[in-house]
Amino acid sequence: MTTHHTPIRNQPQRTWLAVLGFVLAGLGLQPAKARAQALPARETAEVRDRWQGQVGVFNPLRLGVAKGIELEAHPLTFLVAPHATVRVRHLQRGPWTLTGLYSAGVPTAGFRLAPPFGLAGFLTPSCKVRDHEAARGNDCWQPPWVVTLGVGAQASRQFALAGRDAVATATLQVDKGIAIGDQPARSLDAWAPVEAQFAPAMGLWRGRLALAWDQAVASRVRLRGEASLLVVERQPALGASPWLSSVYAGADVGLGQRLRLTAGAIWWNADQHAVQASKTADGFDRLERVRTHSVWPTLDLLWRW
Amino acid sequence: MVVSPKQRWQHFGKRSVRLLLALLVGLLAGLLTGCEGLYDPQDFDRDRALVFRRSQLVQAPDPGQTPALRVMAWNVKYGAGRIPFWFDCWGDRVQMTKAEVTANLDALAAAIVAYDPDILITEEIELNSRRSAYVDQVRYLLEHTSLNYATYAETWDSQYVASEGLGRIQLGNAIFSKYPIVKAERIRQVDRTDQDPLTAAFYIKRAVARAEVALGQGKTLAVYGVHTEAYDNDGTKQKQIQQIHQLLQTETLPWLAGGDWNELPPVAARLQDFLDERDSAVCSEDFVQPPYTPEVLQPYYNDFAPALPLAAYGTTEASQARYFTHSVLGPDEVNDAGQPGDWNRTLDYLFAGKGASWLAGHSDVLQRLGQPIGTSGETVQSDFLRLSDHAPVVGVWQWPAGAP
Repeated sequence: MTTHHTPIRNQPQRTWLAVLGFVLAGLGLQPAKARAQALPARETAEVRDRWQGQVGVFNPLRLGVAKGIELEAHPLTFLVAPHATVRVRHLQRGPWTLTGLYSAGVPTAGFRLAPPFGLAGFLTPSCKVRDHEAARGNDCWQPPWVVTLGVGAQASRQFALAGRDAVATATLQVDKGIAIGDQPARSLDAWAPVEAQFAPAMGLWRGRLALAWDQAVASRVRLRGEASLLVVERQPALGASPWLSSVYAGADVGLGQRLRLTAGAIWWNADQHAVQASKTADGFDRLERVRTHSVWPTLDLLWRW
Repeated sequence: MVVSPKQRWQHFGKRSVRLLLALLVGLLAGLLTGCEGLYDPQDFDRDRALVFRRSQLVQAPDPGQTPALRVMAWNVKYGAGRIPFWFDCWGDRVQMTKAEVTANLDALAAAIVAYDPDILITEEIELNSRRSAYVDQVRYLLEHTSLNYATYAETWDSQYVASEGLGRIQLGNAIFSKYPIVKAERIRQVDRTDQDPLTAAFYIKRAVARAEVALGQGKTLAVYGVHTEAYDNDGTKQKQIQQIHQLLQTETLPWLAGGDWNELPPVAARLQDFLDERDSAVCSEDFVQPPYTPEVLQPYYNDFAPALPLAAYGTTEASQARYFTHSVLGPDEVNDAGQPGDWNRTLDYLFAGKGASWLAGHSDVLQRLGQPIGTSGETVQSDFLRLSDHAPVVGVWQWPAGAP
């Protein structure tokens, strides 16, 4: 059976769609063009060309600044917690790309300032009594002033699977917060993703190994899976395991040429000092330390140019 | 049949898509099952409470035909001693080291051993909280006193409280006994209604601890541990106090109840402007100390046997000071006017019912080292003013006369 699809531009009663298409084109969403360009993989070893980039609501801004060099930072937090990662493409041969990751930051103000500029009063103490009455001499722990340094490598290999592309990426990264001053480094003992994310900012170190698979299933739809193993420095006296693991699965849907919606879920396994009651042989209760499982939804809008 | 590389990749591509989709569905399903909740909503009316046993039992004295039990009720401030934590607004502490917690618990245990209660009721005791270095304080007191059994009724269980970095918290009321606890439960109380939903979700869920203690010869005692709301502005505390009164009235066993009612006695001479209150707002611009409503405790004095009758308090602040049980400020700190901290109000009580009574002359509040305990001839052996922000109430509970 042959079907005929009348192109939109030949249907006068749908001129409002053409107007909408024109408006969306101005925002980078062009339905007609979108069908021609496949949605590329994200978070690979790819380094964008000069002035090309990407930014999300939650994902950082990535901007190509020279051939083979990209800068990455979160615009919303940069003023309070200056930081940047330089991504340098060291090798591109055939389907292989190898990129170095070099990062530095001074995140402390973000944990010492009160909202709306920082997280003091939520994740860290706000020290109201000390600030009000220094003479009372109350000690108040605040995160030490920290310079974070990080180094890593990312390797990607592209595959062609029956007309659709897929990318496998391996990432290895180590970050360390170098504490300055007399405040000791301490772990937040927070939820696993927060603990992992902010460990260097607390003056601790973090190592991460991640393996990801990103595959196109349609021209504007991709699936992504990633498994990570992390080791995060904790306070030894509290006896928490430094090992964390996570598994992510999600989908990217192209909303136009430049915009995509990413949605998924990430499972974390970590030692968050949880305990569970069990029975002794004579019927009494006892507590046992258990690791915490948690699942967090993920959602973002990514704009790529 | 020879499979071409293209066919192999096609097959691999289909399998990887299926695997990714299965992973995504599995993760989303994991949202519903098998994960630790962010907090425990404590969604029950009455629930079984945990019961622990000392690793090596200590021989307990035979209660005999007419048991007379030494009882202590004490809010132990999660083993923090006089360390000024941020919510009291005289300091900024959020977390203790393990060394600090064990030193404080050693002092608490020594004070308990010195009085040697047969029944100990504690409030604000922690099982696994970040602020007390994740020390199991119930187990610690069991192993460092001559009490053999403990039940723990949890009132606060949150994976992480994002307030000043407080972190994980597991706190509740615990009842300790030298004699077997044969049944233990926690009885839910009403929650505050004056908080936003997010704060309410992660806030304390008050509950009464109830334990049945077997005293031998067929005798069973019901022990209640209470700790009502302290900061509400919507009448929650009063409702909780009334609920506890109703629970005690309907108890069928001889009983005793102790704890922190967070309310002044009906004869209290001072109702406001306590010496440990701030002259001006320092920590929270919108916190207002809720007014005390002592009349809500009058039914307890009408219907039950108090360890300390109202007549013992007297009518003046000077006479009532002898039985004050609480001070936010310790003796080594001063308030805004330069006065050192001291006990300044009564919030803790012991009651008995169903025919039970208290041995005259043995009820008291253990305030200071060297103080006589009633007219018993005993003296206080510990510096309680430095051990917690509450002083223990003690008494000798007597089995109902003539009861089997």
